Amino acid sequence: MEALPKGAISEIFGCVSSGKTLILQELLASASARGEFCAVVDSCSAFDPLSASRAGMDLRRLLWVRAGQRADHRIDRAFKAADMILHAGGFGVVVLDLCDVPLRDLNSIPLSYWYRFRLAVENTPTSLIVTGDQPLVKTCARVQLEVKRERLLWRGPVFEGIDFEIIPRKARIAMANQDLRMAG
Amino acid sequence: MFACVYAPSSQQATLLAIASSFSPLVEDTAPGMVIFSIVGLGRLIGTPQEIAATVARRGAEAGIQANLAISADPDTAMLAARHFRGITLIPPDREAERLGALPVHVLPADADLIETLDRWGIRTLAELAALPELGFIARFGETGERIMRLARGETHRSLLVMTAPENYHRRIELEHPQRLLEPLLFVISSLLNELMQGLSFNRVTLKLNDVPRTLEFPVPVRESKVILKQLQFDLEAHPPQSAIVSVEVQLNPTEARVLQHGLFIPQAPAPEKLQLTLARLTALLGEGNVGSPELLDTHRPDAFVMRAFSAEAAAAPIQPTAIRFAFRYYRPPIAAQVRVKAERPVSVNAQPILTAAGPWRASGDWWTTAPWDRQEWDVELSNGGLYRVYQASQRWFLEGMYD
Repeated sequence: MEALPKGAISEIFGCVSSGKTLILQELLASASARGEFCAVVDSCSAFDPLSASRAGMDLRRLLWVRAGQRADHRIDRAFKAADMILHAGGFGVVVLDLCDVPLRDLNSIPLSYWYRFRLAVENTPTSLIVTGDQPLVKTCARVQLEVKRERLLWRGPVFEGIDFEIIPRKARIAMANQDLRMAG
Repeated sequence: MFACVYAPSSQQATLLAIASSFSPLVEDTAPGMVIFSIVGLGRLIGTPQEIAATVARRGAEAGIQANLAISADPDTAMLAARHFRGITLIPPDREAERLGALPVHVLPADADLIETLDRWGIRTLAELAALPELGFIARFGETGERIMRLARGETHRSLLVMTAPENYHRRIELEHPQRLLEPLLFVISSLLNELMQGLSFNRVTLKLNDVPRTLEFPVPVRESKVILKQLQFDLEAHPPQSAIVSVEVQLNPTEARVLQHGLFIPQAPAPEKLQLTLARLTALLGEGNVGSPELLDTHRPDAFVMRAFSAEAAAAPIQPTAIRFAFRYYRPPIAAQVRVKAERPVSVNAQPILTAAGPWRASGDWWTTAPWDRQEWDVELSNGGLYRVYQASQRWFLEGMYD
């Protein structure tokens, strides 16, 4: 999958076990292969370094920020951390992972945060990627990709992977191949 | 005029102390040898003979058995002190005459050159000084010229004056005990500004009431505000236990960082800005929550350590494996109610399992105090999610989700 646009917010969302984390880790791996530094702001402390390493991510070029295991204020801390990283600059990809966050907490995110982030990444070589179970960034996202699982792949009793489809809900990037169906 | 004291069996510090008591221009020439200027001592002490006698008396008081030579040139004085016993006074323009009797092997030249001179039958400095200068220099180059001038007493070099090592250490005693952070930072800031002056440092030690705290920087820092901010975060995270009466700052100087950016190399975070950001993130989220993960060489699940993130990390080629799923952890694992039928799980937290794969048994670290032993199942629940559950110590846990 090609890199998402620089200087803008992109959003990847999908339901549980849809394959969105796999897409994210492949994006991180390709950024790392280009020599870029990446940052993951992990609101639920769910990031798996082993999966990222297997996807090709150079973990030494990854800044992993865990917003904490306690549920209280973790969204607030995650947004503050993402803001600090964006304003520090120099990262090729910054991921704000909001998967598994309860809907009640997601609904409390003010829209002004997204406007602030959009201004922070504008005209920078940074791509801000927001992941969640549902669309959150609304008008501030330049690209919105929905990931839909088609089926789980089993070989006998062994789980092998996820077959999923990427549906661009909002995309101002030219996509060479309109067929975005991927076998994860 | 210069005086050279040669006492190979004496402490260098004692020799330097004696030399420094006569002149501020002291050269720490070699172990057991110091040279110092005696220009200006004529008005204080008298003739060179009287100066030599005073130096010898001072040395005797310190219990030093030394040779002393006074000459118009440091190198001549050095040769004389090394090879003439007692006190040697060499008047100006008499250097060649006084040194002439010394053998050529005392000269600072390599063994081949000395052997060549020996083959030529040149045994003493006087014989060397008598050789034709141009021909000798043409054969032996710069070294030849140097020893020729030394043999003729024509060298005129300056002293390599010993300077005290720079001290990046300041201490201040406060008039009143200070309990508030802001005035304390004001004091620390003034000490840092006084010490730094555009130089680069990689470590700062702050002692409040003589209790040290040290911050290391992965890249040299030359801005005092960067260090001050990091000290502020550290003081906020670990406040002092009592009111502060003394502040001491010690900095470790290092080479400035020189970096050539490439036109086509992707941008990296600016080191100074990154350090501040990392300190801010650590202050916000706590230690252990900010950094780069490093995988541990073990089969234990979720085994990693958090290392300090550095933008200096060189790119390493990574060979990706063709993964077809990623994993998301629940940290810590969630205790789950799993119903088992015919040794297979059939529901998790009352949600029916559609597909279950397992059990995958794993164990390890039985030789340590923290052994682990578990059996895992990959289960697809009716909500559409594919999860990993495991049983350890007769209890079930939800470890994470495939995504």
